Amino acid sequence: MTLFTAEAVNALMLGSTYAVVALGIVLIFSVLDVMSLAQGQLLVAAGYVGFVSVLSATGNLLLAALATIVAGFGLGVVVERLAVRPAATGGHMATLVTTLGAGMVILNVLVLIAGPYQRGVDTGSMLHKVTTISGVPVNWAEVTTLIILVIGFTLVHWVTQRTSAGRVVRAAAENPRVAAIFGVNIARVRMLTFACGSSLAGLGGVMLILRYGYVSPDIGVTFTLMGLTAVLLGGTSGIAGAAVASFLLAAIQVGAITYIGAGYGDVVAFGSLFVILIVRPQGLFVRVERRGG
Amino acid sequence: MSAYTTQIATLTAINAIATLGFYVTLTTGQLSIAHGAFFALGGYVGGWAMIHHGVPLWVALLAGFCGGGATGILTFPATRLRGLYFAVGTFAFGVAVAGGIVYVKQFGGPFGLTGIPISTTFTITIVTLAIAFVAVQLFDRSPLFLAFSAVRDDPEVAEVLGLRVAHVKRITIVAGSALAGVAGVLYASSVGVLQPADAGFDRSLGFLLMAIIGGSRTSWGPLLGAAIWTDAPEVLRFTDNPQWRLILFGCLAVIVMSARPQGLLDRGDLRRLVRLVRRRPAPAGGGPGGVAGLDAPAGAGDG
Repeated sequence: MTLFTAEAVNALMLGSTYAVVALGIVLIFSVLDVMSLAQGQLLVAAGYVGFVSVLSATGNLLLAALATIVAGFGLGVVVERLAVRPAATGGHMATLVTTLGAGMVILNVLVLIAGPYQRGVDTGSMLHKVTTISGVPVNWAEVTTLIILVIGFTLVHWVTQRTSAGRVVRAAAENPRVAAIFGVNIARVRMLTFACGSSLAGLGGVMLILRYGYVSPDIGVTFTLMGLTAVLLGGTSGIAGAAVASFLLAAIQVGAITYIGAGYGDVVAFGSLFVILIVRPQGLFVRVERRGG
Repeated sequence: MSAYTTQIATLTAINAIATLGFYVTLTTGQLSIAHGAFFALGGYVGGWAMIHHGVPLWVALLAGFCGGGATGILTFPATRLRGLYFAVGTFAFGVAVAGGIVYVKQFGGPFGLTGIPISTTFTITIVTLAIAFVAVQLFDRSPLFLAFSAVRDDPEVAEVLGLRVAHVKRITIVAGSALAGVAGVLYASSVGVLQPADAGFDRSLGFLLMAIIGGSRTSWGPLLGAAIWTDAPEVLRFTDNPQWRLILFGCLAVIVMSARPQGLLDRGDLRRLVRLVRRRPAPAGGGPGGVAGLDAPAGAGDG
């Protein structure tokens, strides 16, 4: 039972990170109609800026976390301007390839600057135990992760549904042309949305680093893929589906590692995507969506 | 040619063959991020046959052809997915395969397949490339290509017009993956070693970039792309880091997709170039020595 609980906590943590990355992908896709393949790389790059640089400079965890989110935002602006906007007229394939290229550039510039090896981060106080659930110690990092997840999703939901800015974003997503007629600066909305999506990736980086205490370039591609898989699994329903699918994916992955073998996590996770796609190509949750413009 | 130059040239040709495979799958609008997996598995099957059954290279090539094709068949569920989602699906498939190969003992597990007899020569590779290229060129000029383009451009209309879209998509996947498998065997028997990472994202990305940048609408594109990709590290020799090639190609990908989405070489480009060189006027309703009506209609041929 203790093993199960420990692994359940694991899955919860991993799932939270995937969910935040997936949320970024869904946000970008619904507003820009772009499938960003750079999210994982953005996560890692933001993590380096925030944690490796700021933390070693100030030693302040909160500052480092904020720096990571801001770095994610900034990187997102750059990527949108340089890689997404020029290729937007080319449709899905063009932006897929450019975000792929952008992700590659980000990752390799990072390796060039910071080296290919993982970097340990001193998260000190985060690893102190908070409480125990059925014999399994839970530390501050894990609690924080969940808090961040809840705040993140609530924030996105509140902003998009309850604020006027959110209304503008939704309008731009549903029907860009008509929204433009009503005076919405579509280019700016797109850029800001992409930047928000990538700061969500940065948020994921915060969760990851707080919990595991290190950051490494090679997890970039893995997280991109996990996020994309969760989105695909979640189906066309968007945010809610992607979130559920993220936890499902994490559960499958952790379950495979625990009960089958240490290296089987990825294989089983991606394999199950395939299996589910055979049975249900539209994903787990479907919502009828009207796209105009 | 020095031994080193020969090695580079052979590798270029191998990449070209695999990228032609990617191109074939792309003709129906399917952007595959799994061709590394097809490449590697074909190579594994062929290499394994060479090691454990002592078969000669040409038999191994056949085995690789089948191995690659069989792996392609495994991706059939993804044909239900449209463009973007198909790409993500193949991404997942490729990574899953790369992760799964580690557990196949016959393939050497995490250390890979070693001791593959080196039988690939530059000549064999070039000949294989020539055969593959001619085949793809013939396909490019055939009515099949128009049908496949219809599937790419508007699957619903194609279906309504009587094309079995799913069937067509599957054909291009198997053809493309089989070609990649052949290239994989050539690679395995050239380097002598195959590793699980060879099936992974990096390799698949390489083939994708070669085709997209070289030219995704013509079978000459993969050749150019493979040449650029394989030979870039030589030109970039003044830098010590392998990252520069990837940074260069990442930037190229962005630039090409923004400025010239069809890639560097487009359909008809080569023909136009030849015409320019020979300073022959473009045939108009007949042309010198040609008969009106027998000229290939614009767009159906290739440059």
